[in-house]
Amino acid sequence: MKCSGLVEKRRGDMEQNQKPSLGEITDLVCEFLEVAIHLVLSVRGLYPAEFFERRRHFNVPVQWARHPELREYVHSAVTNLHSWIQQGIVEKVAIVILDNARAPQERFIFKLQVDKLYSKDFPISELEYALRAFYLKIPVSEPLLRPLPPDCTWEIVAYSKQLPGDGSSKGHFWVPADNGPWENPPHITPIKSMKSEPLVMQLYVEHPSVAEISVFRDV
Amino acid sequence: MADFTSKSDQLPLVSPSSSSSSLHSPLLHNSIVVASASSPAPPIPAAAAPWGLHSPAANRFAAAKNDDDGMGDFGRYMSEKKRKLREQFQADFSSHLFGHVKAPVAAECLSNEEAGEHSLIAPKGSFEGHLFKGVSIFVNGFTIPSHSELRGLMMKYGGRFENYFSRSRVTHIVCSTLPDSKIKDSRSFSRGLPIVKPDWIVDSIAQGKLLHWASYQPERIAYAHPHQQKLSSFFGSDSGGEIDKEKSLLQLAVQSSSEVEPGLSDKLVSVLDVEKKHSCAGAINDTLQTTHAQVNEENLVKEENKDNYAKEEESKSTATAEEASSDSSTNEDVCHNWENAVDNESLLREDDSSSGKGNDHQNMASYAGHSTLVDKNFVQNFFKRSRLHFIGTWRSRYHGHVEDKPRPINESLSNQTPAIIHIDMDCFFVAVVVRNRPQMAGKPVAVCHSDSARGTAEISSANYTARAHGVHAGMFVRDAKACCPSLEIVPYDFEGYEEVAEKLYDILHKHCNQVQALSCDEAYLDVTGQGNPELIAESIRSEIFDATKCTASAGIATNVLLARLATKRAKPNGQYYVKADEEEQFMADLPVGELPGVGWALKEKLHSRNLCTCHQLRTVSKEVLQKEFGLKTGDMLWCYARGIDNRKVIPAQERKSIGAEVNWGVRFRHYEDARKFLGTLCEEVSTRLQKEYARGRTFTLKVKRRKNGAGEPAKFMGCGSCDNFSRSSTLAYATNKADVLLRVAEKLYASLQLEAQEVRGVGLQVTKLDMMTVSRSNREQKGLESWLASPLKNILPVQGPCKLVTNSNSILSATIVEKENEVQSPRNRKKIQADSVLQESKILRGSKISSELPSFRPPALPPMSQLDRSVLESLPPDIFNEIDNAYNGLLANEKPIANKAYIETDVHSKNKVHLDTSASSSIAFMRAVTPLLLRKPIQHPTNANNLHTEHAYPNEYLQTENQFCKEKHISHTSDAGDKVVSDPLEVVGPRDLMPLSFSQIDKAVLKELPTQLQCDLLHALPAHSAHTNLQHLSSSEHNVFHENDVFPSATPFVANTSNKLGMPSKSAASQKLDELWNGLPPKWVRIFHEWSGPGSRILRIISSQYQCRAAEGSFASFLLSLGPFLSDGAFDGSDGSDEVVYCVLELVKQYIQPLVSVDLEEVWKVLRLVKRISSEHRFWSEVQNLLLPPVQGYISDSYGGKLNIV
Repeated sequence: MKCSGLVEKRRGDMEQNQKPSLGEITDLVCEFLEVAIHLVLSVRGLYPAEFFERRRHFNVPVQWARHPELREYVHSAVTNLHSWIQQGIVEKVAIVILDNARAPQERFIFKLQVDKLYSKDFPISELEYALRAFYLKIPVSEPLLRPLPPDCTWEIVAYSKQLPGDGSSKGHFWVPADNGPWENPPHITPIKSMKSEPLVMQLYVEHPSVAEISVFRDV
Repeated sequence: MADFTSKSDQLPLVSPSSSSSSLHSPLLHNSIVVASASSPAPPIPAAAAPWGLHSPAANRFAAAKNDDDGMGDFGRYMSEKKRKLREQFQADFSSHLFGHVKAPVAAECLSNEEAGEHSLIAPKGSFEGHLFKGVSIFVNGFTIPSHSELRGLMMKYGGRFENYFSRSRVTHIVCSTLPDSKIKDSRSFSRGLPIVKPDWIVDSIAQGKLLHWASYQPERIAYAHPHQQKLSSFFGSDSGGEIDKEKSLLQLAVQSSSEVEPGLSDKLVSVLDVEKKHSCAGAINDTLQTTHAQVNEENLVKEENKDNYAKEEESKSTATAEEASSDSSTNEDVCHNWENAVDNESLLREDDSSSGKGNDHQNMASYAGHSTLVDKNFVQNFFKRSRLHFIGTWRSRYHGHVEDKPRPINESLSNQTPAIIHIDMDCFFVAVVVRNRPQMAGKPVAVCHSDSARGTAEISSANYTARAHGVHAGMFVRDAKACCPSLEIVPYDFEGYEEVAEKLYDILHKHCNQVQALSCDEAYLDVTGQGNPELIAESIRSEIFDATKCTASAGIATNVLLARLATKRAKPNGQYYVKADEEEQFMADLPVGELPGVGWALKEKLHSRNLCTCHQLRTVSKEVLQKEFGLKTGDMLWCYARGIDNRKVIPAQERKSIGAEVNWGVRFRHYEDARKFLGTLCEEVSTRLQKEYARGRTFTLKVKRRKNGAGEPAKFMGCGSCDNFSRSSTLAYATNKADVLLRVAEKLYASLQLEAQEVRGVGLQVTKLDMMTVSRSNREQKGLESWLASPLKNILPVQGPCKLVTNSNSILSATIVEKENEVQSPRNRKKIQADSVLQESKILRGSKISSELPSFRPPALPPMSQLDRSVLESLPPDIFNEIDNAYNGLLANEKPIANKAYIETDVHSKNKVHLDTSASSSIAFMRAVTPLLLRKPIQHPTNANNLHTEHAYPNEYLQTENQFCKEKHISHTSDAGDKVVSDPLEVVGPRDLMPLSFSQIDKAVLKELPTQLQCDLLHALPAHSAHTNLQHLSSSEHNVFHENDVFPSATPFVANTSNKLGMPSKSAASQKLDELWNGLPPKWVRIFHEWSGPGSRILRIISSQYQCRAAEGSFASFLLSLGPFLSDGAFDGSDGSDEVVYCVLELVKQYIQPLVSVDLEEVWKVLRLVKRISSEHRFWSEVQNLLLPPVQGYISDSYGGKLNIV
């Protein structure tokens, strides 16, 4: 299993060195994001249930897509964010669920605040522990959400604080997102927050406000 | 003998036999060849004979001069001489080895004062010979031990000694002290060789081994003698007499060597290439030191003097030589000082010369003085000395200058052939500096902020002589000196530039009203229809020269492009007229690279397509060009190639942005440094904004960060290779205040999350400018702050009430007006203020009052003679009584006046109004307005917003209200106003009266205010909340003020409370309720526990419950645990518990506020719990109603949305 393999490798590192580098933390965050995206997809029913298999990550059962291309998409998207997350450029990573007219219906937003100046003796296991709670919370968040229209599609959108200007070759995987924010301020439903020294992460869902919906209906 | 002051010192010269050996013998490198073949040369009795008189070499040389062939070349002469000196040295060396030492050296050593030391260090009889093997020294200047002693030592210990510097032969340079310029420019001085103090040799000998030279580098004089007087004090008294004397002295020296003709000096210069590297003063210093050290070594003296003379001829730079020859120590000082004075960087150095300790150019400590680390005034100094800054800011100064000039309206001249003159000063930056230094005329001169260094300063401008040598702007000094060794570097003369530019533009404006300033030295003039443009240009140029002693060139043509191109052809000091019929040909020959807008890259592209001249370019169609180079560039090329340019001469344009950026010398150790630097930068920007009478809304912070892996940049303290980051933020209002800028800048800086050490440059730019007219900016000084601050100081009890009311009065009237009118003109506004005040009071009191805004710092009651009778007449009786009372009843004694209506409406009678007593108007107004405030809620119970408006104005309003409460109270107790005046009001500091936080301000109302007031209000907010305020305003401009639907719900409560409790008690409560969550257990636990009054039970329940459960984590879980207690009746009613609601509200709000950005989940939980319990308890629903709007505001600021509370 790919992901647990990663975990083990990292644990091995950890035992040798209690001081995680920013890179290690970012590794962990990316790993988490990848799994969390899969999990959100399964929770929102964007694919049939058979599409997913149960796996274990951070010692918590999660849903993991079977389809290699989907995995590849998620994996490459998150991997390409790695350096930007590390630099603190990425503010939010969102899973945007669009209806068949490509109008955004729901955004699962991971808001990241990476603090590079964390004290070095921060135990990485604590971060893992905190992230695990997200895996538990995501599957039970469904009652808070609105039912999705049929034939939805989705995409991964990263919100950066600035255009990454480091010319890294990874930049060309990303294109400017074409659907901007909603006209009216969206409704926010928090799902989970975590706060640690190097990383503050919030997961919340944005829904269009009622006014927005009516506009869409009119159209 | 070896003592340099001794006349009997000898430098053995070459024997005639050895001089016959080949001139072209291969040079000996780094090894000592024991020339056993040559016998020791018999020393020539030197005595005081002039150089070379008896020297065979000189004889030969003289002979050679006579017949032009043979050894006519001085270079060959020198090389032969050097070779001979070496041979002599070797001869001495070998004789020393073999024991037949005449060697005066050893004996001399013993007789010398250092004899003891030397005898210690030189164990006799041993074969010391190889200690300095491979070491070849060159002694520069005065040393202890002396030059010849060192020579002896080197001889003894197997080293070599060079009389003349040569990069290839010398391995170490020995000197005791070095002038600043040489230390700074040690590379060009030493050519990379180590410079050591003579102690190195002595110590090495003492220890019997070759020590490392690093710790023996000479110190800078400035550090060794920090209190040394600077030359600047007597520099400039460069009297001609001294020069003459000195000249004659030098002349004497030259003449005394009859064989040598002055013309030789040129060649001397070219030979002594090392010397040329030195700055002029350094060379003189050298010379004099050498002179001093080697009085009897005539040949050397001669050389050096000639060198000196040559230098003198070239530069006439200083008169120190003579002084120095009489007193060598002074000389050194003088020279060093001269260095300092010349050195443009001395400014900064002087700052830290006492603290800095660096004897090594590689020592970082010496860098520090330039960087942000040490220099507190770095930013100011940086801009003071930055040329780019001068150019950049020149335009604004120019605008100020030009605005004063009447600009006649240009008649339409469409039918005439346009005539454009392009005037450009010839190498402006140099010319201005040189204009007052005739001795520099015709010499290559360049302007650069730093003469010397290791040459990484960039030349900013060079004159035509220097350009002929290949020197051009942007070159490093070291490269430029390589191109043109005689290049003189002069520092900027910003005052001169300013002065010349001003004169230049005066002249231009005199001749023409259509002047487009391109920069301080370059402008377009549209002289269409003003006669022969050539004549105009001619007269302008001659006037410029007369006025400034600087030359200008002019290009004249029918459009801007051609005029500019023509100037290129006209330069230097000429003019060129491209007549309409010549345009074709003029353009055809032009290389494409000359076109403006065609840079290096584009030129290369064009060349690669074999398009080198405009003629060739014309063969290409517009479409092809546009396809190849893009729409705009293609179009531009097509037009320019045909000499078409439709740009007009546009007189002056408004600025779009103001900012400051520093990319040089920026080094931070930690965040604190960066923050301080941001502070100074913000002040700089703020000053610039204020100078321009501008305020900006959008702030962009640019930061350069060292690229990963990039080392220390080549350019001294430069930024090197960097990644650029920028962030910007827009405020809801425009500002030019440094502290606001700083807050924004800090926030932006923090958001970049950079490590301070990596930062190499910081810039702050302000855009979206609001230009204020001068009058408006004057008014600004009378802004709210001065209103707030002024009246509360030094108030006599009697005047107290008046003043306080005055204060609130003016604010109120201002706000009323500004809510209603968006009038820009300050004059108008004042008028309207006055009027509307009148209207208000009329409406409310039904009485007629003349009122003008009182002066801002009302003095004591004005003398009665100054009171405007007519105003007094119009006052209602009770008010009149009050005033009368203030004047101790004197007014009433005056002739009774008919109660004539008088309404002040005329702006022009302002003066009169000013005579009006501030006391009268303010009291009147106070009385007029009191009911306004108190009645309003009654009159418009539905329009809560109105009252809230008043609460929204933090300080002033509270104060106003405070005032009115008192006033009301008083007027209830006493019929007449007597007591109002006599009752001294408690003077409360304005800041104490501020509302607790930004959330208490109705944003909708704030939004309606003019920016000026908004600013001031925000500034007036207490410091602890000010930051948040800004965030509120800045984070999402469009969000902030569209909360109207949210905020009014908070209004009734605030209004209620304030009405019931009166503001003073509220402010007391609010002070108490500050920072409730501070401490452990939180402050509120105690406050709630000790609360007395209605509803205290609720607070006590909450407090004690929290104490029981505090350890259990979040507030949400605490709220949950509160469940069982909620059934207590205390929460059901809300009678008399507004204060308690307020307390709980603050508690929850202050808990939530910091969590919004980091723990949305907890915020959500708390809100949902509050919502859940509020459905059952009135108390909580009140809390919730008041809580939601501000919290939703926080959420919206951070997340751009509304929390969905289900």
